[in-house]
Amino acid sequence: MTGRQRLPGQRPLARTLVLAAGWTVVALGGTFALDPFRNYQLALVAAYLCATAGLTVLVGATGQLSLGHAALMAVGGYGFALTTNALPFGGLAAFVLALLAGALAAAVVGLLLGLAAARLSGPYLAGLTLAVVVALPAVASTWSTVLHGDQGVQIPFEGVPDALRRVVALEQWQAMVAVVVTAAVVTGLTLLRGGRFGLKMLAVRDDEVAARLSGIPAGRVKVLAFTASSVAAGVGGAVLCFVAQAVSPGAYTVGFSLLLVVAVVIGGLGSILGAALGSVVVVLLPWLIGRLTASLPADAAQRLDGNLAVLVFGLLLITVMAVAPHGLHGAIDAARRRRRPTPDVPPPAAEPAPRKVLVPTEEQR
Amino acid sequence: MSAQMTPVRTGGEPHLDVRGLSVRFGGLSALDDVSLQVRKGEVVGLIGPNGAGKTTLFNAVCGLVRPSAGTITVDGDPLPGDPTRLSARGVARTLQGLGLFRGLTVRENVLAGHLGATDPGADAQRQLDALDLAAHADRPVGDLPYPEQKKVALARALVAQPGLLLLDEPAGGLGAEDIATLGELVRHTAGTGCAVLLVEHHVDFVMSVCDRVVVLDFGRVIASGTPDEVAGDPAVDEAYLGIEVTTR
Repeated sequence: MTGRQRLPGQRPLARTLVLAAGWTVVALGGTFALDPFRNYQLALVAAYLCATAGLTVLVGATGQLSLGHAALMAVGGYGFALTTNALPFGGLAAFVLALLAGALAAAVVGLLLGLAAARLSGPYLAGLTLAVVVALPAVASTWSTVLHGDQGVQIPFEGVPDALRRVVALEQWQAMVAVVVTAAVVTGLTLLRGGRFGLKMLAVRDDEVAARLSGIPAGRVKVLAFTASSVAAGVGGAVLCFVAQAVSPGAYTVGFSLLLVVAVVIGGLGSILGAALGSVVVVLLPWLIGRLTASLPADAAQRLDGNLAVLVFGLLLITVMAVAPHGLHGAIDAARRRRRPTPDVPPPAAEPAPRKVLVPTEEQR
Repeated sequence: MSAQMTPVRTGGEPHLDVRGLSVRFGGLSALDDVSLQVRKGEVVGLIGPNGAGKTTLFNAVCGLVRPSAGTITVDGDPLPGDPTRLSARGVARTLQGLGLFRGLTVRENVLAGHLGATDPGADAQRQLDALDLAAHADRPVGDLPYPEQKKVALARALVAQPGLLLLDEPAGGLGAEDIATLGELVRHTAGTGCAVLLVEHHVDFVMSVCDRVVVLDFGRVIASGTPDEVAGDPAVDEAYLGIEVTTR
């Protein structure tokens, strides 16, 4: 896009990058304050954030609902694992190559899904993407010589690089890598959404015909948005594989895929900060509930195990939708606005009923 | 040819030239052998009862429906038949109602009509200034009163300085005062050399703004000529079934 002026209202590139670098440094510094288990959870949040940030941009900006982002994460994970195992060397170069391979695999699958998605909308698109998640275990077992069925693919344990081994523990190292990769993904999505392409996505979402008449190729915008969102999810899957040192279909169930949507909705549709908050909730809530049930008698705990989390997520979703329809980010925004009231804005005018007049009325003459 | 055109006021080759256009939806003939021309600087009104095929003609010009016969050329060349390439050919259209991007600000709505440009920001600002919308530029478009929203839709169509402007019911939902302003604006746009084709039900507006009027009924051109000629045509009265157009 050389020679093109920045759009008014668009944040300068340098500011976005400085902001991103600032947050990354804060998060990296934070890893020193956390114990190994918390660092593991931070790495999970970061990996989920790749997928939820991609999902929230897709759903919020283009209105395309994907229930299949878990499958795209899995594609990224498998791409990462298979490439790692195929490479004769290890270290940073192998990690970057494997990460790119995971992203590329997700991009290809996302592009194919996106091509179908551009022709579908609403429940039909949701159904299609859901079918992809449902088909995942079958795909893994059909090509079991490569994908190893339900067992999945393991990657060799690499550990912390020698130079840092004295300073950081394994979990902290994994969290740091996850944070850096996620920061890159989130920055990319922010730039994508803030520029011309972002405006195109919103225009297509609001009125596809008007967008096309304005010279915006609606179909291509939707396919590209879906592909970009898939790449983000794929990178998330690759990070998750890096943390878990394995990828298997069991980790990417329909339930998990829906949980990603829940995270995005709880956080606030279209908001990347919301996606981050939603990812934190999705990681911490099951763990908190697990702590809670652990203190109960053994048989009660056994019966509640797993089920209670689903119930609480359902209740949380209903509560958030009732109290803050725009999610956590929307609630934060509203609170901030209450504290700093903006000048009076007249209420939106109701659209008058279209008046079709052939003969002018008395009053119009 | 269903009807002969009478070139009035403006001369030269037609900018928009529709010849023998037919559009069929299954067994239904929405447009049947329709021909009409719009020259540069000319405002042509397309009127007719509901279902006469006015919007279908717009959609055919924009490539939103595929004609079964006929040709549509702008400036001598056939149109691409792809709505997204219209603006590159200097064709802009407003939609019935508003057709605005509800989630965007006023400025972003105008920008969205001009993203192919090198500096859309400056052009959008110029257009906002020209239509007195600059004061509301950064408010969500839904916050504006309806007449202002109609103006935003117009600004989005005008920002790329089209050679052909298609207006689908521009006066719909507007009060008398706003309609007068709109009329001035349409005349001004035509004055810059733009060819304007508009669909409108508001007779006063059509009669005062248009150089020529084409009347459609059941997908055919039943009358065309100057506003006065058309207003006196008995076929037009009949098409509108008992609504007396000639009482004015």
